[in-house]
Amino acid sequence: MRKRLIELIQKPLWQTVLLSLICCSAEPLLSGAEIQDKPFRLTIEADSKDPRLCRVVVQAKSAKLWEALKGASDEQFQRVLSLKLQQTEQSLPAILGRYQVKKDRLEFKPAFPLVRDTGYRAVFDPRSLGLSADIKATSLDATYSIPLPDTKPPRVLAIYPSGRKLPANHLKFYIQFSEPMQQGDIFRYFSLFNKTQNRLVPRPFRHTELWSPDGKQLTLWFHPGRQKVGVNLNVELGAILNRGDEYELQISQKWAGLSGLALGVPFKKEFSAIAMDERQPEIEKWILSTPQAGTRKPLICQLGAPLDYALLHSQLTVQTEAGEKLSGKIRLNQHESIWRFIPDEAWQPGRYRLVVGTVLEDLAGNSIARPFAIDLTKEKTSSSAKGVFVSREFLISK
Amino acid sequence: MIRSQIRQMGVGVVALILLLTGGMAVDAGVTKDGASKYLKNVQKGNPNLKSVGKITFGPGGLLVVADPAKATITVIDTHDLGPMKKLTKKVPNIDVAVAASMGVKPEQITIADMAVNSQSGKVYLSVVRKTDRQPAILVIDAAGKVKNFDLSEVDYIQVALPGGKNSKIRNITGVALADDRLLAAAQSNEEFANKIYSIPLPLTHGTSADIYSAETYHVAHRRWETKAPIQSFVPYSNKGKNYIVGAFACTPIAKFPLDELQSGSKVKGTSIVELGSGNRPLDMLTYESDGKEWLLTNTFRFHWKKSMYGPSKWWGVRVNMDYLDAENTNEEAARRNVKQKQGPDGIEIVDQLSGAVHIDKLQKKEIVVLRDNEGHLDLEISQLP
Repeated sequence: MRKRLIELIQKPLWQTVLLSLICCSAEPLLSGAEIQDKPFRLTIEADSKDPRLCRVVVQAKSAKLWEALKGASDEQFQRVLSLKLQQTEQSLPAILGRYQVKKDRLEFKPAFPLVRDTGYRAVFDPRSLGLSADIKATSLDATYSIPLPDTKPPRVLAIYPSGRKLPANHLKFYIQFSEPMQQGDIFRYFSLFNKTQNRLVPRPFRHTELWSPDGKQLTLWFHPGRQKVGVNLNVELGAILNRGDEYELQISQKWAGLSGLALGVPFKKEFSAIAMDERQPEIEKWILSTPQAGTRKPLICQLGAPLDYALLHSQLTVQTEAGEKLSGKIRLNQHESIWRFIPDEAWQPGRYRLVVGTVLEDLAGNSIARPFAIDLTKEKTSSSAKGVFVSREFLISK
Repeated sequence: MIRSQIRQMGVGVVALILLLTGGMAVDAGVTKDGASKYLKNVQKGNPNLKSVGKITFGPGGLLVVADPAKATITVIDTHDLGPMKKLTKKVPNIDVAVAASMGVKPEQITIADMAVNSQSGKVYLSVVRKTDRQPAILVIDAAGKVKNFDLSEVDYIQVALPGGKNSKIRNITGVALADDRLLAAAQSNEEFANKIYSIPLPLTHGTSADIYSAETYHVAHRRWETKAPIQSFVPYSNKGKNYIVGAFACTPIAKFPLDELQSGSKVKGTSIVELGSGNRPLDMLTYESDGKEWLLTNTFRFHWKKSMYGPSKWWGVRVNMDYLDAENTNEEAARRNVKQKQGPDGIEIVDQLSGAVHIDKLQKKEIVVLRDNEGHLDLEISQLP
């Protein structure tokens, strides 16, 4: 009979998970005859592919038992069937979702997937169904929880700039993780420790979360208002980094990935602050080493100083004389101060151009187009007349 | 005499758009209520929001939703046209109820923004569950009950902020419907750049905003010109010219001209008022009182350990909009006296905004406030001075 009960509630693509099904009559094990006598049965059906998607189902002996729910409001449905956090105050609202009566089944589908490592409790209360006394319906409840996945905790894979010397007006870090991280209110997991002065730097970060689409790369900014000369925060509070001081960027081990697992170990990046950088990158000064035709050896470009990790991947292209973009891989060396391009196909003899977007920045936000801050008392115009792109020509010889 | 005017789309504009667009609404298969006439090529179904951020209401129940993860703006016809049923009483700990409604604890959600439908009085919240980045639009009715705004079958249009899937835009700091366009401010995750997008009406599904600034700039003390991201803004027009009035990260309030805005052009702001350093602007709106127009903004004081401007880290101020008449770059923008509740004349701390994490206008001098209460959030209506 127990086997038959399971079969009854199974549906195509739906796998019934009965993590616990407890009748309030305090009879954990029911005989076959008793199950048949019960007017209602409460189950939680989980999707076979994703257990976070589930339905709470109350099966009635007869569709007539649901007559009181014809045209019912969500509030009326909720009085009969509700799904809540297992450990919550009873007065708190139930999880939002959609109710449907399908013949002898009352179904509740939560509006949002359930969350792992969280206990839920479904309660069926037949009192407001207006049933006659001889039906002998009792309250039912069922609990449900989905364990955390059996995977490794997230890790910090890399942090850029990769170098240990950063200008005192440094602006941003790119932090790469092994898996998507939880977002929202993340800045409590970050701190900046001044090792030279043995103290935490107060409120150094810009509290704006800028994530890559896959949620694996965060752009973490120092507060630009404190790094910009002449802006109120800089004037009143001073810059974040002092030239000559040693620092540690710290990430708390408590920060969890979307899997629910926390990093588990703290992460630190040590660096020292050197002189402020107020010069713009100058493409004319880059040193290009060109490979031989017929090979797939890299075009090597010495940039003279570390530049922005992300922009070095998005703002530089190699084009033929006719303007056709070459496909290939970009590799960075020596703390993002060398840019290498490895073409997918062997170099053909001829003239090429290295085309660079003028938004390409150094570590302090000075781009090819303009310095991070312009002193208008010294400049005649507020910004240079550079276009969107600049380029350098080079020759691949036979 | 009120010289400046913030205009939301009104009846006249509706008539004008109808005149200009002819039978478009019928061709597009849109519903008959007024709101849909602002939209073209309306879709029916699930807009598949990947995230939710800033939200705002336009007229006729139009809800504008920023999706930073997809770098899109979605405008949903909620068909929520009233009648007006205001919140009957303060709802304490609304964050707890919102979290429970999404099956988690309060610390596991972020209420990204709040918008009030001034036709129905209902309060809309954009909420993200931190645990799995699940987005939601929830509605609080007059009784304070939390309801899901079911996105599975809605009338909507969606426009991309350039350039679609390859866009680097990852944070949309503000959205607003002006009388002739949809405006958005957004930030990149790489360059320290901020773009203002201007999308003319009617808003057409599947299009991409093609008018936007390359960067926004700000000049401090007429000397230091730097790029500056806008945190919150309102559309503004004065003497026939259109502007955005926005607050920067370090809380100068500045005015940006829109009429000359062309794709890729540079937009330079004019500082109007300095509110004091160490604050992050949150919301901005305008209202009239005693024949004067006021710009109202709430901010988070992140340097509260240094000094507080009131009993809460969240505080707000109103600025007489006469200050917005400033032309060109101000050498000496008005500076709020940070040691006083008022001053200079026309700049005042508003007690009703103490603790205000989000605000939006309900009607006239009434606003809805989502207010910090020792780590939880209360929802209530406040009367402005």
